[in-house]
Amino acid sequence: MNDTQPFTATTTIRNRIESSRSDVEEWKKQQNALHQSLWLCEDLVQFANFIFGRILSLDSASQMDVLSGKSTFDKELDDAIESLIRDWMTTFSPLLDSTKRVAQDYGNVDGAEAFHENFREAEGILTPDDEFFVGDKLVALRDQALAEHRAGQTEPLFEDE
Amino acid sequence: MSDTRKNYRRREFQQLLDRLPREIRNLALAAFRQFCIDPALTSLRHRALKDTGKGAHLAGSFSVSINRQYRAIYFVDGDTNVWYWIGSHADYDVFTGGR
Repeated sequence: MNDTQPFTATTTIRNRIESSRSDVEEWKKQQNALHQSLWLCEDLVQFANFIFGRILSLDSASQMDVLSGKSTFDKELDDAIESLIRDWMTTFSPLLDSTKRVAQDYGNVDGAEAFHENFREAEGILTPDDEFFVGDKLVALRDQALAEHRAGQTEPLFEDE
Repeated sequence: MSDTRKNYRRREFQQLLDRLPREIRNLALAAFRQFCIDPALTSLRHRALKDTGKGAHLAGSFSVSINRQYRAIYFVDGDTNVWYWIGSHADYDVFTGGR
């Protein structure tokens, strides 16, 4: 190695560092964008969950009003609640995939699991019961209940019955 | 129209009921009371489930809506409604092992 070689090497290394600087800056920008994407995604997911909870609370409250005799069944309100559920699904369905993508980068998106459960619940709500509540397990449970009932192992639904 | 049949439940049905959130449990009890008075009450969304033809029982089951999220399911045996499952759609997915 002659006297100039170390300097040449340092220059080469310095150039490499400098050329990397823009890569690091670009990576930082991407990371910032990803962080923002994560935060935005989590905000949206939490909001979606909050709204879904509000819809279900509204439904429960109106159902209790009817069951307790405070009001009669209101078809317009009933249709409006169903419409809200459909709108909720349409609006937030893009989050189904984006939460998975963001989770791949960060491992966790707060509220995503609840969101996916809510989405599945919404799908179930909008599916007719005779299409949703099917399957051999239900038949097997029914048979088991029948056997228990005929063996005298069931109990009155109401204590005063 | 009043439902004159008796109503019985599996012991596990009560356990499922006890595990529900208090608000839903109260709704369920109100729904059962109303069901006994008028099973056709619109908000109960009383539905016959499809009979798969499998199983020991000749007739199929029926679902009753506690609210949009929760259902109670029973079948008729003679003069008795036998209630055997209650839960949300998500609970049903867990019960069946997912879809």
